[in-house]
Amino acid sequence: MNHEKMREHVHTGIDRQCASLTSDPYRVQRVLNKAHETPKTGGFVVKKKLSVGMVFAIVLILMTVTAVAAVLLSMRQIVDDYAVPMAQQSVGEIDYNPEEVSILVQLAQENGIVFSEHAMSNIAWAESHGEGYAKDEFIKLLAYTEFGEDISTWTLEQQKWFDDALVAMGIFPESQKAMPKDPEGEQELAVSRAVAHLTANYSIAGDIMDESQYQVGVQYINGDADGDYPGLYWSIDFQPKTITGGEYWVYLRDNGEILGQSVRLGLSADSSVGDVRDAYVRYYKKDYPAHVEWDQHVYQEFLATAKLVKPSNGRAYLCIIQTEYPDIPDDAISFDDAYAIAAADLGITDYRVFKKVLIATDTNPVWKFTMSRGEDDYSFEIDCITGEIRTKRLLDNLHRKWWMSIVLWEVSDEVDANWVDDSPSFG
Amino acid sequence: MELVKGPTYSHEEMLAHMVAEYEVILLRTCYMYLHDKALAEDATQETFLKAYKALDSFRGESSEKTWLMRIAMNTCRDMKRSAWFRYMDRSVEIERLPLPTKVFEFMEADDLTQAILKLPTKYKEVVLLHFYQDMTMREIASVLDISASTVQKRVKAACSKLKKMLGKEDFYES
Repeated sequence: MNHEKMREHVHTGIDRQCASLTSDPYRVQRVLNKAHETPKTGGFVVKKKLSVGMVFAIVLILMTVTAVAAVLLSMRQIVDDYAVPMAQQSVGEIDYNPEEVSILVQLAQENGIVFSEHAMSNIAWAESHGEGYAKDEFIKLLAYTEFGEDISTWTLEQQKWFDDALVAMGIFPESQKAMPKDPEGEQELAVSRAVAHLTANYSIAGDIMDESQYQVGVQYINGDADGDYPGLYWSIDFQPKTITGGEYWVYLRDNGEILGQSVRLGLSADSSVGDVRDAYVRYYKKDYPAHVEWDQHVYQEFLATAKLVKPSNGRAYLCIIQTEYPDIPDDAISFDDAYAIAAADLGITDYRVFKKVLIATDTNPVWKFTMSRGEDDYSFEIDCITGEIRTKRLLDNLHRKWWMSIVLWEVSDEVDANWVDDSPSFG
Repeated sequence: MELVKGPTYSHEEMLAHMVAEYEVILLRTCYMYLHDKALAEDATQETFLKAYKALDSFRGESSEKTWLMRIAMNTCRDMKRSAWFRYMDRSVEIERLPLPTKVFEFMEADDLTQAILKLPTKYKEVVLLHFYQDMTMREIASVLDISASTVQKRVKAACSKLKKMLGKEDFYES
């Protein structure tokens, strides 16, 4: 089959199967509506008044860009040819100054490099406070636009390039990343050896070669610069994309010699409710800093999983299996109202709240949360329909176990009263 | 046909032009990348939004298609990496999209499409850009910021994988 035939098949196949994916007559309007919802964060570059000297510098750079480019400048060219030399002019300074940041942002945007909203928000914040931006952090933002924000997914070459840029900028004395002779071939071999080692020695949760279950991270490390082992070696890691997956790290030489490994087993019926809690915290860490910040539906998922582990005599387990997290009733008072009730009871107007969840009781569900007054933390359980304070407790050190913040006090008190510690003692 | 950026065209007109020219092919490319209809719509919308916001900065040193595709590829990559992507029910398989009324005889093309969907991302990208977006190796290199020789190697490797998956002796040789 020649190129033209291949092209025809690809077009026909995709267009046929995607026939229902057609133009949207409102697309332009929707884009315009969205664009006018938020301020154009890129505009701050144009609005800023630049010094005369910086204007000349910008003109010089842009003239060079115009003269050289028949195609777009890549992100790497911007880093290698502009950002790094700029950083080298002020070795010892941690930050790019605000004008340097402006130049680099404008240069990136002119070449189709689009920072994330989050990145632009950070840059704009720094600019509004008259601050510069840490050089290595800024280079990282540039690298994110192309390589992605999860460094573990970067290729070996991308990692090496980034490391070299930081060395050139004076951030590191020596590159910590190396490049094998045949990156793609040797990487594939190293990964397959790591997989073989893991499957031969551990019970793996799921399929570590399934992209939908695990993210493979590969590094080729110059251990003499800063590594766990001397010389050159591979670090292969498998990060779960599912809640039940384990986490596996293998370190090995080019010749296949295994230097070491680190394994965290995935969830199973043998897991504890604490393991389940940890798995959910890791899984949701990007959206929620800790389990105590979860939304109600996450608590419901966590509970459903936690109740699947095998029974144990642990207090956390005994409390969790007696707990239910209901859907929030339509007529429930809001969190803010519940906080206001608690604050009024404590006689405070400024308050900090954490650890909130709705827990079922024999009557109405209660909002459970902790509120601080000075150095003291108070736990409240407030009827979500009537607003009645059902429980109020000053927390002492004995009552700050993680499960106690997400189960009813009457449940954890009863478990504590009847609990016999049958864990082995070591005399 | 590209719209030459000039003082006579407003940004809204340029956006309308880009949408008219590239919307469908972009939407289908994003679908093939993300394998999800709703995400493909979001990625397409996001691409045009980013492009519209950056129109001031587009100086016409590359083709607008190359520029737009770079934004689209980075948007798709971001979406694929986002935590939210894990929650999406990606079981809206291609078979569940309604078929057009005209029946084609190109069953080979259907098998090929399925096989492309199953390719690892780095091969899928070059196949979509080269055979569906009709981009040259150099243009693809610019979009993905890799060397042209790497593009060539990946196209070759992709076709080799496709050949194996389809079990066809007379498959395309790049």
